[in-house]
Amino acid sequence: MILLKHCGKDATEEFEMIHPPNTLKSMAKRIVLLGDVQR
Amino acid sequence: MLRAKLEAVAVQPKPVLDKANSFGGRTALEREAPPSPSGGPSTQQLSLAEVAKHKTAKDAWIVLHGKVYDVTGFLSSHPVRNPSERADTVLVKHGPFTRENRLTWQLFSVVLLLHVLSWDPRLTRTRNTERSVCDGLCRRAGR
Repeated sequence: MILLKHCGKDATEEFEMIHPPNTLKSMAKRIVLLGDVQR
Repeated sequence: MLRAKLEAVAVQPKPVLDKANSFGGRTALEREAPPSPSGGPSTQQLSLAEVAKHKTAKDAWIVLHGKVYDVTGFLSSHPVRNPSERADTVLVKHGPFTRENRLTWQLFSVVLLLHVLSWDPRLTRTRNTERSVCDGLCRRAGR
């Protein structure tokens, strides 16, 4: 699974490269926001 | 390698403390708020080392735009399931009839069907008749 390959890390760059801008919004029902990344 | 492990161990207890402070000892389920597209109030701080531990099919976290998401429930519904199957090869593999463009094909076939049904062979004949009448009139007028 391509998604699982990117899990456990920051996949922003790869995600933006492939998906249209509204993808995250359409996924909102099935994913859970856990929090922010510690800087 | 060892340093990375030590960092992970050192960093791990921090989010737990943050959770306890900012959420007043609520359960884990209550803390997992649904993602809001606009951002909303920040829930908790998670380190990349903590996120790196969750990369299995039963427990998958991912970082997007500086936010940590649990995508476990989404894994099975991701359009590209096979690693060899990239987004641009989906069309080649599954053909032009996908869930996304089904409406377009239905509309196309309905329009085509209407066009075929409305075709009348007499229309062609009428046009020829008109032309011959016009020719006759022109001839009579001497042009």
